[in-house]
This record gives sequence, structure tokens and C-alpha cells, in this order.
Amino acid sequence: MKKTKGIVSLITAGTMLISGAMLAGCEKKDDEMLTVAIGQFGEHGSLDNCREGFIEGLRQEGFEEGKNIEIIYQNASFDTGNCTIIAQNFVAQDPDLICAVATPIAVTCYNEAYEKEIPVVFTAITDPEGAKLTEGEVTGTSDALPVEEQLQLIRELMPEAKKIGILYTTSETNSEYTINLYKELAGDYGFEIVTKAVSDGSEVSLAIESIMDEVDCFSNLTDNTVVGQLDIMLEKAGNAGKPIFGSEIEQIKKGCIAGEGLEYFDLGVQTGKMAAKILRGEAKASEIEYETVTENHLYVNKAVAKSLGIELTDAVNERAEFVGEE
Amino acid sequence: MNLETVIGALNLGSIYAVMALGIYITYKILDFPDLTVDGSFPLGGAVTAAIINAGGNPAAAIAASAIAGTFAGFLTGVIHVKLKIRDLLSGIIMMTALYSVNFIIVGSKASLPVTGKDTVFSNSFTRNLFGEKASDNAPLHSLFDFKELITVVIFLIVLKVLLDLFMKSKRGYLLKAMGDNPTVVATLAKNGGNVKIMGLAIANAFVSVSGSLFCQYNKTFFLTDGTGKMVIGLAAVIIGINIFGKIRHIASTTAVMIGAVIYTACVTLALAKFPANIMKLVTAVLFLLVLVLGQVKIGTLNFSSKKGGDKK
Amino acid sequence: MIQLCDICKKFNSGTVNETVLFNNFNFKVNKGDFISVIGSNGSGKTTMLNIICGTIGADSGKVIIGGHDMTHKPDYERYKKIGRVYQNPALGTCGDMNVLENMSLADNKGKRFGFSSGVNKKKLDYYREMLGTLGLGLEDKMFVKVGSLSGGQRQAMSLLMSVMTPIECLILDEHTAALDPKTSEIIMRITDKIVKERGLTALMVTHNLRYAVEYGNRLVMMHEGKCIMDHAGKEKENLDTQALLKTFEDISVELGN
Repeated sequence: MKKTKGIVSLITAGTMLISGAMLAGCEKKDDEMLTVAIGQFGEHGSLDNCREGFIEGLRQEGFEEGKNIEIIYQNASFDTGNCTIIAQNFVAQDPDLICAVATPIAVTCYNEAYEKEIPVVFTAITDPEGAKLTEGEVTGTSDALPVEEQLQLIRELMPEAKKIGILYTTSETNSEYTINLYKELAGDYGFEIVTKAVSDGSEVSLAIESIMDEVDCFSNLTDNTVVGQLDIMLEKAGNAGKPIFGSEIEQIKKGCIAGEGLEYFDLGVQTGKMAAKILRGEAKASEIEYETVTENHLYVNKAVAKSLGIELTDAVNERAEFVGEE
Repeated sequence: MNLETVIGALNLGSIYAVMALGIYITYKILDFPDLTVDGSFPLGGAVTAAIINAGGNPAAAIAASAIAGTFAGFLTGVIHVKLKIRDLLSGIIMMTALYSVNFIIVGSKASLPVTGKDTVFSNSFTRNLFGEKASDNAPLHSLFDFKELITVVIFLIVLKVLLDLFMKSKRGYLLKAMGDNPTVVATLAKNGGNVKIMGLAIANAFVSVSGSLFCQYNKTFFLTDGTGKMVIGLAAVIIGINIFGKIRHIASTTAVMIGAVIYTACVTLALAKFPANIMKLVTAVLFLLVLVLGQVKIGTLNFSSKKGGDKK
Repeated sequence: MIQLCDICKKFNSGTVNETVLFNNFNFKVNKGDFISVIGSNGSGKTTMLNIICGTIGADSGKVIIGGHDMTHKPDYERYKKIGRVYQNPALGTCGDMNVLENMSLADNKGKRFGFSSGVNKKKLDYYREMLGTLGLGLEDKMFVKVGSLSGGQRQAMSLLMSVMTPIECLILDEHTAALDPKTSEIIMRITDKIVKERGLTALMVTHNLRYAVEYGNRLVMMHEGKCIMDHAGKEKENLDTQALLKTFEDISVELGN
């Protein structure tokens, strides 16, 4: 019996020690200030843009950090376990709104906040329905790519092309959703989609080689793992004389020929404005449908098009924003 | 930070503690660095998400996860013992294979939510007992914030007692002997390889159950759930054994469990109090502090009141 | 009892360092023999034990134990009928487990290792009594981890554990070599007592010529993978340490060192 007593007392002591250490950092909440908690899945250019856009969106609506809102920011370093911890931290602090950037952290924040009915606004999620982020006090913006426009663009620039190659990571929910969309719509434009899945970045260079001869061009998604290997992809495709179409401005700048894409900063701004509505009490999160980005941008890299010998049509020239070196 | 954060850390820590029990078997008892963990942890989650989405019982999903984990560990053992592949490599092979297996189990999706479905943490029984939302009235509503912790601690205690009982059985002795001195197992006319396979199978059952609880707690399975879990488990085992392993009245299994909670507490503290760019550095420093302080504290406190000879 | 037939064993096969140890080596252990095996380093004593126990395999030839061909059986199959004590006292016991747990393990040899309790408290006194016969005070250390015992105590335990369940043959692999002279005397006396009391067949490799002469009923000297001397019964009783030492030196002279 003494043994059990020893264990119990030790566990209690340990728990108290940990709790004490944690509670020591407790801060009092100012009633004048609204609190917004921002959780981001990991350090990543697009996600950072999204977060900055969100803060900018709030600012445009009159919510400025330090003035009338307090922003708590945490980052999960791409670990789902950390997402849980962050979500718990947020909910424990009882903020007025939680903003979650990318799917895993949005899911955990939503689940943790569900019982307390803290509104969650997500962004940079491609398929909110697939992630079941539709019920309760939750809304936000989807970064679903304008697939139809992208297919139109490819047809315009490459009238003879038949097969489009797409690389993606099996572990990315967003890519899976986008590829299904591609496959669904490709037929309408006379394309066939050839996909190759990888499980980590090191496999990308092998994967692109394996379908190089089969396809006429590539279309790149916003798949984080694949985008991380864009340089090697561009080199290999360039050697084979095959263009890669991009889906975000940074990709076109790097050397993708062109792309119908979204601006993550703009997406963030759009999200920030939605959040402002909720903070002002104009609408509840449950009353706002999630939105997709309203405005697409067509980015073109002229130098790349020239080197690959692809003519830019008038229709493209009219809308395009040119990036990269001339 | 407040009590809820602490409870959150305890919840996750207790879930990791189940995994730590498994890693304790392979790493501490069998001296086998088992990388299968990074695959068998999400295996539990995948099986659970698939079963719950098919309308299955969440408790049955845990049992199924345990069976799946047993099988994964068994295969790692067979690869190591029968095909004579080195320990680290057998784990890597199994972990790699399990990535695809998990992918297939959840229907070739990168994630599979169980949101809105019953889990062991939230079902008609717990809803009646604790209430559904923070504002509800229910018999045990005062314990509402603790409902996950209560559930996971019950699981943890049951699993710990089972493991302790097993380790005291003849078969458990054989497992201990195998890690301690394989020569003795051979001279006992027992096939040491089979004992190793058994140990790996049991260990991965624990890991998978932990993965199942993790998935039900997070309400979503992600294909990447397994990344780094071996490291978390190892850290828990090492922290636990180093600090509490030497104290007479604390069983190694208890020490390992506390280790998992301390690990999670360190990460929580680092996440909550420090900016993202130095989070990992802070975590590392915290571990170091815990380990060093552990040596000092335990050295000066006298926990052992009895001599070993008359322990009954 | 044990028979080695036409054993061939090469080491580093296929390399420049290839050495042939056994070339058609034959050896027979009769039931009830207590054989002492001596020989210089590299003469093949320990390799012979390892081939008998299956720790290493022979290139060709047969190993027959108790009338059964065990050539292709793994070591743990052979240990069903064989007990073994090693030179290193740590090898015969589990250091992280206590004396009682070690005794219980050994006691269960040949039975099923199931889910029943690993320690049978009813047998505590029986184990105590058994350990008491060693005269090393182990009976009062039932709950002490074996790792903290002295080398002599551990070796005595190994010995006791290896004969706890009925076996047909006891293999002693230089089991006193790592102990101090006084302790090795004690261990040798215990060994002799156990072998005699239980009527065991024993095969003992030793470097101590005096033990080889003093104990056992048969003495074998090995050299370069051959038995160059094999005396039993009366012949063996007439041997003395000095004569043995002389033969030993003769071999060394032949070797040129």
C-alpha cells in the first residue's frame, strides 16, 4: 500500500509543479481589447502571406493590433500534435475569435473551440467541406485553385497539347481535392491528366523524370512539398523543352511559364474582413458561408515563354500581369 | 495560460504515455530501436478513422487498432529475426510500407475526419454524464473540463496494469530476460527470436492504441500524424526513466508515463510562451533543464524507505 | 551421449586468412563421463563446445546428442537436454532481474512460459534451501538484483540454474577462468558435488591443469583441432600435473615458441 501512496503523492507533486509553472505566466485580460488568436500550421511563404493579409484585412476594417485588438500568434511547425496543443492554448485563453491558417490546425481549433462556441475563421484551406468545417461557429476562405481557368489558359497557349502532368504529395488533402477537380474538367478541354504521387520532397526529381516523356506540359499546384522542389523540376522540364504552368505568383517568378492563380495576401485580406464582421457582431460565423477567392490573377513570365518558343496570344496579353525578368 | 491549457497538456501527454509504454518495451526492455512507431502510430489512427466513419463503435476501433499494431510489430520482428535484417532497417522498412497501408486504409485520402461521430471521448454516455456543451446541465457537469482526461487516464491505467501484470508473468520474464541477456533465453531452450517478435508485437499494439486515441481526440486522422512520434516516445521514456526510474516506489512503467506528460508540458510551455522560430530551441533547453534538475532533486530527496531484501 | 562425427570447420572461409581448425574431427562423450578438456589457445576446445551446442555450425559432419541427429537443429533446441555455464559469469544469469526471478526462470525450463505469475512464492523456501547448499549466502539475497552480486556468486547461480531442471549433459566452458583462485576453488567443488549428486554427464573445458587432473574421470588434451591425449579411468588417475605440463611444453616447443 505504501507503494501506491508514494506514487500518488509523487504524481500529485509533479502535476502541481507543472501546473504552477504554467499558471505563473497567466495574464489578465483587458475588457476594452478584443483578442484574436492566429494559429498557423507551419513556416511557409504562402501561409505567412495569408496571415499578414488577414491582419491587413482587420486593419482595413478598423481593428488595429495594440489599439483595439490584441493578437496572439502561434505556429505548429507542421506537427499535428502541436496543432492540438495550440488549439487548447487558444481555447483556454478564451479569445473573441480564432483564425486558423491551413487545414490541420483549422480542424483542431474547430474541434477544441466547438464546445465553447468560439468563432473560428479559417483560411488557406482548399476543401472545407471535406475537412468537415461547415457546421457550427466556423467560416473562412478556401484557396481552391481556379482549375477551369487554368485549363483554358493551357489550351490557349498550347493548342496541340494532349497530356498534362501533375505531381502531388499523398499527404496533402488540398492536392488530392484539386487533382480530382482537374480530372473532372480536363475532358472538357480535350486534356488527359497524368499524375504522379510522392511521399516526400526527395522523390520529386525522380517522379518528374518518370512521366516526362509522356506529357506535353506540367501544371503545378500549391502542394507544399512539390513547390519546395520547384527549382529542380524547372531544370528538368526546361531541358526537355516542356513548360510548367504555375498557380501562384512566386512560382511564375521562379520560372513557370504562366498561371491562373490566387494571391495569398489577398485571400488573407478577404478573410480578415470576414473576421471583422464577426468581431463587430454583425453576423455570427455560423451565418456566413465560406468564400473562395473572388479575383483571379493571370501571371505570365515572358522570358520563359520566349525561351520555350511559345507564342502569347492577344487574349492572354490583354489580361496578363508580367513577372520575372524580361 | 490557465487550468484548461494544463488539462490540455495532460490530455495529450496521457495519450502519448500509452505510446511511451510501447516504446518502453522495445527501447528499454528489448534494447531495440523500433522505427515502426512512425508507421504504427498513424496505423492506429487510420484504422480508427476508417471504422468510425463506417459506423463502427469507437471502443471497437481501439481494439482493432491494437490488433493492427500487433500485426505491424509482428512483421517488423519477422523481418528482423527471420530475414536477418538489422533492427533499425527492419523498422524503416515497416514504417515505409505502413505509409501506403495507412493511405489505403483511409481510402487514399490525406486526411479523414471523424468530426461529428461518436468517439470514446464524446458519446451518448459521456454526453449524459458530463453534458454536451460547457453551459449544459448534467450530473457530473463540474467535471466537464476533465472529461477527456478522465477517459484517457482510465485507458492509461488499465493498459499500464495489464502491462505490469504481463511483465510479472512467466512470458513477461522471458521478454525481460531476452532484453537483458539473450544467452539465458537460448539456454532455457527457448527461441529468442520469437520472444523478440512477441515484444515488438505487444509494443506496437500500445503505439497503435495511442494513435487511435490521438485520432479520436483530434477528431481527424492525418497521414502525417506519425512523423516524429518515435522521437517523442523516446524522449518520454528517457525523461521518465532518468528522473523517476531510480526511485524505489515508482515502477518503470509509471516513470515512463510521467515522462510523456513532462515532455508534452515542455512542448506546451515552449509553444505558448515563445515565438515560433525559437520554439524547438526552447523545447530542447527545457528537456535539458528537466533532465539536469531531475538528477539534482532526486539525489537530495530520500524516497527509499525500505531495503530491497524485505520487499514483499 | 554426445557424438561428433567427421566434423570439418574452417574459419574465414574463402579469404587469405582461411584457417582449417577441424578436419574430420571425431569425438565421443559417453554417458556418465566427467571429461576435462585442456589445450592451448586456438586448439579448438571452445569451438568444439560451440559446435555441440549449435552456437556455431560445422561446415560438414554430424552432431548426435542422445541418439538424435541434431546437426541442423538451432541452439535452443539442443539446450533442451544440455545445460551450459560460460566463462563470463554475466552470461549465465540476467543481471537486471533478482535472484528469485532468475531461479524461477531456470525452474521453468522445458515448460510453457505462459501468462501465469512468473514467480511461485510457494517455491521460495525450496530455492532458498537450494541456494543455501552453495554456502555463499545467496539464500538471504533473494530480492537482490543479480547484477550487483559478485562474479563468484553469479557463477554459482549460473551453475545451479543450468542444472535446475533435468538435463542429460552439462557443458562447462572455462567456467572458473574469470574468478579469483579462492572463488574458483569453491565453484569447482560445487561443480563436482552437483555432477556427482545428480550423476550428470559433464564436459568441462579448463585452463587449470590441476583441476583437469583432480576432477573428472576422463582427460582430453586438444591441439590444432585434434585430440592428442585421451585418458580415462585408471589411466587418468595415474596422471599428474607435472607430466601434463611436460606434454604441454612439448607442444609449445613444436610450435616454435
